[in-house]
Amino acid sequence: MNLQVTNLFKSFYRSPVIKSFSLSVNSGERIGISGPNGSGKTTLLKMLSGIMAIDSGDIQVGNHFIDPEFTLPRKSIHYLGHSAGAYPGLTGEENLIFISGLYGMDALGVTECLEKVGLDSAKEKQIKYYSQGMLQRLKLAITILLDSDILLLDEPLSGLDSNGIQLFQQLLDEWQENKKTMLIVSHDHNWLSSITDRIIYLN
Amino acid sequence: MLLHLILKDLKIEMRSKEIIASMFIFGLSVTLIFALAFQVAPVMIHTFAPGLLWVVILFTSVLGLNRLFSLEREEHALWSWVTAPVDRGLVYIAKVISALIFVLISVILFIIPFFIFLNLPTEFSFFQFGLILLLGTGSIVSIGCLISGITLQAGLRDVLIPILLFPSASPVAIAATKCTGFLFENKPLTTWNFWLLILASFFVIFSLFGYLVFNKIVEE
Amino acid sequence: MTFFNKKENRIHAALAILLSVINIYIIITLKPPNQAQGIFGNIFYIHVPIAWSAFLLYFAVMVCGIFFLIKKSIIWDHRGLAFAEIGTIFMFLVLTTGPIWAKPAWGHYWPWEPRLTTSLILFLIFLGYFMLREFGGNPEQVSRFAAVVGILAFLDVPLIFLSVKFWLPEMQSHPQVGQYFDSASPTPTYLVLYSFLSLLVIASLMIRFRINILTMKDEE
Repeated sequence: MNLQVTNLFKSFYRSPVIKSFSLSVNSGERIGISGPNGSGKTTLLKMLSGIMAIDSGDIQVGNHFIDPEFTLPRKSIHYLGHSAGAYPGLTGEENLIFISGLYGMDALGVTECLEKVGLDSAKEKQIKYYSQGMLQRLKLAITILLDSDILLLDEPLSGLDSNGIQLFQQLLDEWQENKKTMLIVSHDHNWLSSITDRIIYLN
Repeated sequence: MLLHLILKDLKIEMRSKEIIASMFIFGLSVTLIFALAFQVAPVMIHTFAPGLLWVVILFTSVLGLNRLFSLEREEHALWSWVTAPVDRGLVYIAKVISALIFVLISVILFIIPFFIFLNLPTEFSFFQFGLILLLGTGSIVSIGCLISGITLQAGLRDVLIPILLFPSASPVAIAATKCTGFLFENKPLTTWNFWLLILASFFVIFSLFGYLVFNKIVEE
Repeated sequence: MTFFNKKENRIHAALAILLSVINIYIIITLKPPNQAQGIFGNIFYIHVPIAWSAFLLYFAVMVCGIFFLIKKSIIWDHRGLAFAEIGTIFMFLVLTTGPIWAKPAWGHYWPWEPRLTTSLILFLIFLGYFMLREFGGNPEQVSRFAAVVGILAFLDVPLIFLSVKFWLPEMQSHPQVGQYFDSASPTPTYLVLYSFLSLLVIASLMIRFRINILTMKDEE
């Protein structure tokens, strides 16, 4: 699914962070986003996912514009962010079941996803007892479960051990085969250029 | 979907019990303070009691709402439904219902000591009392969930919830106190159904308003 | 360019001063309609129009809030804030002139009169509104929250008024107002309307001044 950002503006405390930003992403393209701290990388991904309101400008996903009133485009985008986006008081499995319910899916794939990221032994543990790496794996499990067409990955490697990094590389290959559109934010410029088609600098 | 959202809150609460426990113990403590501070003739306490009851309910509701919405803030759990293709107004309705359930449970728990400590008579219609409690707390949480939704994203939330909630909920405080007073005096329902109507319309107006605008306040 | 460099703004200001000076002169020199209240009875001619203006301004806050939520344009946020600020100043004047009039009329400073009580509650909600504006965090987000609170406050008005009105049924609402309007001569009605008009001219000047400042701050 393609993505079209036109003339996007966003400011915090009355100072603009993203100014007249435009971007066109083709279906299946992998884009790396890089830039110094505070350059609006996370802000951009949050606006694409609907977490953050847009000051002005348009974001078009497929044929639809992103709009708080209109729920459909949110189905084809998934944001993997700094926080888990899951309830600390629920177990890993319950969180996945809850999220799949939000997307109107049945919970059949949940166990499989947890096995894939190596969390099947911890699936009955509340996620407030998870380590940083386990939370990162849980986020990956959610991403696999939702199988959205556009993936927004914000520092996907943070907190992962070497096994986890390997797992992520494997997932990346799978996603590329399935023609997922990806926007990846990372500080590691070399790694980013090795896995993406092109890199955008924000400053 | 609505049920799915409510069951999530209930499941978390059933496991930790922290919201209901803190509301119950807080309500009990305030009741104790009232009982000690208002050591007056039984006739007098009879006229004070309805007001005191609703002050306790209002205070405990603020506590409960704060906790209920902090569930969404920890680990940014709200991202799960903010980014999902879900009508966010429905999330508000779900929050109102789960808040109503939690507040009512804790009220039922501390209302027994409330009546015992303050030596209140209990010869009145329990059904009508239940109706007043339902509509009164429903009105409080309908506007309370909206305000908590606002303060969920804003700073200074501990202070802002009561500052915004107490004056806006003043019609509820008046109407619910009036209802309870008439009930304690065993007046027939027809003489005070006006106050029930105020509660019901407050509940309907602010639930509808919250449903319509919740979408505008959940985004960062 | 500063506000008063524009000719139309200077004319507006001059008109506001002229109308108010005449207004104050009339009110001070007018023979009090009710001998028992003395000169304090004349505060009616300023208290009632100020109250009308204050409620009108708060109503405008709601309208601006609705437009802001629909159009997302910053100008509606500035307008809403300006109306809220000036409305709160007027509401404060209502709350000070009310007791001054209440003392000779009722014998004590704070009558729980429905309109005055509604004013107080609205004033408190708007204090919360300014707390939210000031300490709520990111102004882009807080604008939306403030719009919601502004609408919420005015939605609350009929419910507050109704519940306060029937809260103390023995408390008559403004018994004196009738005596001003029902007198054979139409003069009091004209005077009140004139006073209302002059206050609106002042209020509109203050609002335009504030919007001007807010817009200039934005452009910096």
